[in-house]
Amino acid sequence: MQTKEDYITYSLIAVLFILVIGLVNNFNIFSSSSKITGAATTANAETSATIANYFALSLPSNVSTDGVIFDIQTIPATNSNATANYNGTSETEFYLIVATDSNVNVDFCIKANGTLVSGANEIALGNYTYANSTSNSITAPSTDLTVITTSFVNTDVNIAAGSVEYFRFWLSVPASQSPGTYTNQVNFKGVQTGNSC
Amino acid sequence: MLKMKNILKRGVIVLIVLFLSINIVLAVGIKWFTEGESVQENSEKCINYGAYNPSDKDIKVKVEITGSLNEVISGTSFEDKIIKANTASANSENIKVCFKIPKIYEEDCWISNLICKQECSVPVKAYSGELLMTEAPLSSKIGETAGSGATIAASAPLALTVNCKQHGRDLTIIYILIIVLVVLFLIKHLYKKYSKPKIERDTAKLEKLKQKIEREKNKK
Repeated sequence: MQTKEDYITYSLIAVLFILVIGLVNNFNIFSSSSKITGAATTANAETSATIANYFALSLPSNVSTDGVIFDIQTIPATNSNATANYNGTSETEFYLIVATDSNVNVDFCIKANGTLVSGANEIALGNYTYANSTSNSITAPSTDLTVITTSFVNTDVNIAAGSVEYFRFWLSVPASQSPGTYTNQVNFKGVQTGNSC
Repeated sequence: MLKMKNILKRGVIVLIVLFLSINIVLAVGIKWFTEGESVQENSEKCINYGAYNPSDKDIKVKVEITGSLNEVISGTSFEDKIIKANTASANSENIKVCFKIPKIYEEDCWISNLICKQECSVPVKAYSGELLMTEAPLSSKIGETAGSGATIAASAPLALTVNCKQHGRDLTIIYILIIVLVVLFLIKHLYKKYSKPKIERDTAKLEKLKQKIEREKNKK
């Protein structure tokens, strides 16, 4: 004969069973994705393919170590040439090369880190200009001047491996400028063609 | 005649040295394998890059990260490193850049961080920017009147998209609590039931049976 205690025991066991089922279901142990029915078997093989992009930029070591030099003896000076603009020849010594060991085309970008500074004195960046070209002659890069800014801007795009980009730089100095050695930094950057500077 | 030859020899040597010193070219190269990755919040993601130098002179490379990637950068395998001359892209130096992604998406929780659900109703968070490998000049010389130091950099873009994992309210803790309570109650109940000797339990059972029989008789 079943007593009241027996019914309570059976009820508790039933509740416990339901709760355990609920907990298991909560963990999604029997999710449909893991079900295999009948005699079916599965086998998975992962496919992996690595694609690398690479490019290198080169510049002459004299530009890397000496930078862009202006030797200005007389002011005011308007669009005074950097010393390597012509350097006694018809060609500029400022150039960037996309190394032949590159598998993407490159866009060139240029900026300056700030004004030219000598102590408390400055030469505004508006006085600092450049021109660029993929050819190098007395007329190219031309004197079609662009002002250098503190944000990267494109100079030329879609330069292929082994190709060269040439630059010329000019600086204007007003008559009121105090004498001194004015310096800043010009940064050249290469990005894969199509990406922003 | 001999003197002339010596002068010519010296002149040729000087010209060769001058030619080499002018034409030595510095280079910095970057190799990358991804421009976008999906990452989990509260995790660390490391990405490998290659640095190479196809020029004839050793260079010092500085690694920089730009954009919002700076918020999650957790370290690079080096800051500045000398890359040997004539290192081809196939033999590039490995640079491991790691990002530590914080908890981004707030969950709707009942109690503290328990019994939570994630509806992913906010916009997907992405960190973007670029990895720059800059050739830092080993030495620098600036002109006497005015001039600019020059650096070159090669860059690769990168965007990290933080996945939001949608899930319903996690009731596990509630299930576990109720199961524990039921088990405790069951143990208490069984203990109470079986703590008496069997003869006593059977006597009580018999007594209850007699009372039931009596009630049935009275009904008739």
